[in-house]
Amino acid sequence: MSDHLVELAKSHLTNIPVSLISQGAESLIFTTTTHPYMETSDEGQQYIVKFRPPKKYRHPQLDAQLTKRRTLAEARLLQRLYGADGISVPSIIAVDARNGILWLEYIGQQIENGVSSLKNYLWLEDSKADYESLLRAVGDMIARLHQMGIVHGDLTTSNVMLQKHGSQWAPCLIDFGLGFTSDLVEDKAVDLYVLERAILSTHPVHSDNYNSWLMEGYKKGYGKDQGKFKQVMKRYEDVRMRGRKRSMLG
Amino acid sequence: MSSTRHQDTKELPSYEEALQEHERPPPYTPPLTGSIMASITRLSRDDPDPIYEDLNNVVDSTDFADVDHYNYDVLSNAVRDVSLDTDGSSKGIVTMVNLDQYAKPGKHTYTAIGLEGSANKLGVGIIRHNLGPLSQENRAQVLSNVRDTYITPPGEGFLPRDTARHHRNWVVRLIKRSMEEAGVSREELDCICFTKGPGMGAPLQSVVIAARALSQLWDLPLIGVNHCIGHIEMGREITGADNPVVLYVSGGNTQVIAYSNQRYRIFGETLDIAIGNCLDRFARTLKIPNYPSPGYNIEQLAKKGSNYIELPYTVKGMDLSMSGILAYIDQLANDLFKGNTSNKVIFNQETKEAQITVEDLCFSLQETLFAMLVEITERAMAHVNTNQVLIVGGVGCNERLQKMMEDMVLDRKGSIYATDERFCIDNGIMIAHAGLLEFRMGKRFELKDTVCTQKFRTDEVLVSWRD
Ligand SMILES: Nc1ncnc2c1ncn2[C@@H]1O[C@H](COP(=O)(O)OP(=O)(O)O)[C@@H](O)[C@H]1O
Ligand SMILES: [Mg+2]
Repeated sequence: MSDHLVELAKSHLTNIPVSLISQGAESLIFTTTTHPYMETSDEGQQYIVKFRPPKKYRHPQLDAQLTKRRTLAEARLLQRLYGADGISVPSIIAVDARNGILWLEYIGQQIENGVSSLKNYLWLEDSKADYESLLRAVGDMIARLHQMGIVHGDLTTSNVMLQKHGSQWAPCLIDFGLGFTSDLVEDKAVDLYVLERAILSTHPVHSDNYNSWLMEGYKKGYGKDQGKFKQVMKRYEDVRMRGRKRSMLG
Repeated sequence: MSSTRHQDTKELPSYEEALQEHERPPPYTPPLTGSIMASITRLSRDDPDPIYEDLNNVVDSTDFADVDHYNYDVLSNAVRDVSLDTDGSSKGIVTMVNLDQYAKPGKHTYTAIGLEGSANKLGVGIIRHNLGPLSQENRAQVLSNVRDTYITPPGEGFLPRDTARHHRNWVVRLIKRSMEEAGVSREELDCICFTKGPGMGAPLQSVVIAARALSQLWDLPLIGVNHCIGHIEMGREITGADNPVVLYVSGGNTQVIAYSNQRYRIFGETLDIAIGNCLDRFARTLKIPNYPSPGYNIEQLAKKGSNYIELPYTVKGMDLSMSGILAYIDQLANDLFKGNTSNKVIFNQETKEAQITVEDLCFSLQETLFAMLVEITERAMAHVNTNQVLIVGGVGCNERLQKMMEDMVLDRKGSIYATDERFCIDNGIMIAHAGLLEFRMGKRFELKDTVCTQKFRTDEVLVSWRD
């Protein structure tokens, strides 16, 4: 992780002690115990600061535009989704779109192989008992998201965090930077296809099971509205077919 | 970064000059003969060498009119059956990969010839491995690597039938040339490797025919190779990248790949057209020359552009889509050519003068497409926790793409690996190399199985030679 980027983040966060915990796909993730505008009440309460640094490889115009667009999209969608029925996302605390900074509720905890993301948890491969119910719950949650007319845009097992509810893990969706609102079946179908392929590549040994549990949960999430579910499924098959038929010349 | 670029192509004309050149009768060789790369000299087809004469006859007598439905049984029946050692194929995977289980007693090296012709390049290469696992101390030796590209006139793509004809016309000469350059005799060869797929049917088949004929004439086993695996393995061998995320970018493929559990898994890919295809098609819209390659010419024009025009940006997780971008920029180019002054992006609405040049369009297209490629590569790196990137495939030669990737990787304190045009662009040596790895693991093909397939996914191949 590049030090100059950490310094840059700190320069936007004067007097706020942050410590880097990970470098995601496009952002640096820090934790802090300082709340941006309230007196911290709970001793040891942690917050997430998500910083999208400028990308040197991108044309500055494109870079500024993407950073701003994604930070705002993520903030707006989290705002809309927080508290929605059957959906769990981190609450949003503050936004600085120009500098690409979000303050978020801290989700999850450490497990044997790192943070409690669905990816790490599935990579553990030992506690198989709740994999099925967990993946069904994720599918269910994505269905509810889609029914609200929201597309995640980057569904992978890295972008689902797990939280302990009592003794049980429950999923929480994060990373809405590529998300957008849409009621097109095409967008929802592509969202599912991206997830299917991520499962296939990241968890190849059990991908068939995982994908069918996700889809069963997705179906259930539509509740009485099975007509909508069928429409998405029909398009989903089309999208998969396109993938298979795509020419690979050269 | 190990990228020494081959710079034998002369300074390219500006867009105007290129177009003027195009308006004169285009300087291209008719499809039947194809054109030659500077490094390859023409060989006489009337060469009386008996070894190649037989091969010439087989390749020449094949009727390619209906090549997609060509019945291989006809050929199979006509030729002797090859007796091959097939012991190894059913053996399970051992924990430590042993690449010398099938070594011939008393021999210290393996040598393979590889034939590639899945698109418009025909390549033949000869590689040598010493016994033992490959490493920085024990590297594969490239004995020869020759290529001939079928170039079409500006504004035209290459059609399967003409491309197959080009390959058929050149394959014997290239094989001969590569054997001579390598200085090996056919007795030294262990196997003949050919591209099984993916690619265009007719060109693939013309090369399979040559490989089969050669295998019969020289009594050598055949190994079919996945083209993408060829690129990846050659890239790893040349650069020494150990376990990188691989960005595979070519005329027909756009994939982000990482290795796990004996397969190269596809983490991200295009949802519609390939990057090379997108660039080639835009080059056709602009009617710029296809020599040395349309993508190279776009790259040169892009260097002269500076105005960035906003284009759609379509990353979907680790996948991406490019057809919408192509449609949009094609429209801009057409409006520019037609002088459609109502287009506010292109024309200044007060003066009615164009404020955007073709060079700017090339520049903006590259900036947008490559930013998307680098972004999905970074997504895959974060997802699988690695900081190495290897770029392979023809578009991987692009210096701007390499620079952008380098900038991204440096911010992750990682390393980037890329090769020059000898290995990036389709070639025979990568087929020889990947095929030889399969051969050393005991893989053997029955003659009837030495067919090609237009669709052949990277993750279908069991990577037995890695653990
Ligand atoms: N609210 C959060 N609580 C706990 N960890 C988080 C939170 N948000 C992100 N992370 C951690 O940081 C990583 C990257 O964050 P993410 O939002 O996915 O950004 P990116 O777009 O860079 O992938 C996640 O995979 C997760 O491990
Ligand atoms: Mg993420």
